Amino acid sequence: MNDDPSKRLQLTLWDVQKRWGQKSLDVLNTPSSVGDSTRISTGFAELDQVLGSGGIARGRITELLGIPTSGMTTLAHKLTASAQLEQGTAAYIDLSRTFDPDFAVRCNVSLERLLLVRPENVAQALEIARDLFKEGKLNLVLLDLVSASTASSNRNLGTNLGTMLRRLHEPLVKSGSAAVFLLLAPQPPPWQALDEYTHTRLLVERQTWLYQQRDVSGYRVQVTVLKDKAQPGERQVFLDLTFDDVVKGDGT
Amino acid sequence: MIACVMLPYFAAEVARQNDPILNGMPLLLVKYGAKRSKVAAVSVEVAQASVTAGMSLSRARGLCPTAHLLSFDGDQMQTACDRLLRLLWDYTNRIELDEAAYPQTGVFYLDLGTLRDEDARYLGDQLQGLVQQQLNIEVSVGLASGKFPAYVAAAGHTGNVTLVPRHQEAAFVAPYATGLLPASKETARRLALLHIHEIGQLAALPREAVLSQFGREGKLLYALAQGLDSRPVKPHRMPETETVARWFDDPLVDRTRLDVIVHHLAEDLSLRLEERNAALHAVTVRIYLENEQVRANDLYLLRPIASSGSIARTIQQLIERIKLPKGVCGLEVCAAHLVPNIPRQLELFTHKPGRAQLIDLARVLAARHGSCFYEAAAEESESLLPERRFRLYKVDAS
Repeated sequence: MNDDPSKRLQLTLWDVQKRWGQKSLDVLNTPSSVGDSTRISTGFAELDQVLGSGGIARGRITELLGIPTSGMTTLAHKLTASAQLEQGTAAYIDLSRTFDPDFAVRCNVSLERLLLVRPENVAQALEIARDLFKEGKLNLVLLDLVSASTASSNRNLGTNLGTMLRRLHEPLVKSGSAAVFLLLAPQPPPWQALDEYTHTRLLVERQTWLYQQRDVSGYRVQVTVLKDKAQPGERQVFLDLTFDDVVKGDGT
Repeated sequence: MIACVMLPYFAAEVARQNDPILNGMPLLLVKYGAKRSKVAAVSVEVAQASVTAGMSLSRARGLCPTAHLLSFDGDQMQTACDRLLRLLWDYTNRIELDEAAYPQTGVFYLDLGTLRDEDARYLGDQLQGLVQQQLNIEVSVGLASGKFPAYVAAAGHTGNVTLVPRHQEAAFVAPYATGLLPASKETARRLALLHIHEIGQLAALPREAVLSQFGREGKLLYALAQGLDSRPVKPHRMPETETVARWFDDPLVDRTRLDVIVHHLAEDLSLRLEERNAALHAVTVRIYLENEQVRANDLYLLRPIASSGSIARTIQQLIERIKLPKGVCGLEVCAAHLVPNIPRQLELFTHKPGRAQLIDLARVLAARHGSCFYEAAAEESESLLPERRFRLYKVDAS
């Protein structure tokens, strides 16, 4: 009989894995389960700090809430650029039909490693996202649902959304990709079904314009962490986004 | 040499074979519709009362009130037709089923290639004997250089094997009625108005006159009336299926034994699929019970399967949904919608760059979801207009 608890745990682990498969039981402190690889940086060091463990979680859903011109898309593009580091790939599901390649490149997004999808409706967008999680080895799948989260477009969604999200969640967890939903703030009623699956919810609000002499050179946004399963409590961070050739961000 | 194998009153004869009580009864096979019911096929007795296929049910009943009505069973007819096609498959793979005549009359054209007259007649006799023996239906066989003379030979000499000598086709078809020509209703009506009742009468007319009267259709009819038919035999594509079955002398009541047999059947099916390098999309399970009842269940799989384990699991799932009140006398598993079994390259051995992988992925998904995938590429990077700097290209499934 082995008295060393760690060895006993190891033996038990082997037994369970041998009988029920390798994925049946895992120890959380192994390097494969925890570490930097489980997170994608937002591209803003301050925001990463506020989020606790260095960015948004892989295999989980992150919501970005905001109104148009709030800086939500810029933040999304910075996230995409960050996910594309080290030859990573990403997909942008553009239901709003607002993807601007020029602006994306200015946010350091590599178009070479970006797949743009323009589906017809929310159902198709979620089905495609599901297939992307199942088939592709993507680091990030971004769903721009701003236009789909208006009241008129939500009429037909009804209770189906819950089912669609449930179907989406399982392959997402297995894939290790990060899913980012861009939604209009405040979150419209059918999209409250997303609450169950959201890991992190960020509210992006524009605070002030930044001037360089008389010209507008950028704007300051306030990012509020409304929900974070890893770290409780609301937290805020201010980011300065400037319109140079390359969109830059500084946290304060 | 073209052989025309003709089985008159095919549907009625098949129905009689499946239910011998119907022997000798005037039969009317009906396709029941929500608004209007139509006659699908008739037996010889009903045909004598001028009832034809395609007629409305009310009119048919008016013409033949004593006819016994029977619902047309498409599956039953298809099974009989497939059986016949498999029989004829031994002679040639170029077999055409005449869809216009089916199911009232079974007309099959076989392209036998180049043959001497004696050999053709010998083959014709063999064909007739084989079909009669297997299906127990009266068969006539016509042999000629073209489809139409062969058809006339088969239609004109019921129950016989008739060879139309080479270069005598025109003379052979001349005395037959123009009703045998594949003419439209309007053309048939106009031929009757012109008092052209025999094929020979049409053949005797000047070609230009027939063409000016009947246009493109007249061109074909005139050539057929001359005994010239260059229309090729369009091969009928057999539905690709694989069937395995087990029959038991003593009915099975033990579920464990049934499971073992399911595994054997799955292995057999998997081996057959491997030989064809195919995977199956649809599975049908038929269980024959000891009280002569047949229970069936089928499943269409989104992803094709070929391994014995997957097939066994699918069969077991289907069997679980079937209630088995009696012992099982037979178990039949049919694999349909066969597709080529293309192995997928493991990601481990592919070293494609990110972009190539993305395009491959987009192509796969475009086949499933339609063309909504795009790749962005730099167009005029120095342009002052931002919209000109980049362009989106649609990624298609192909």
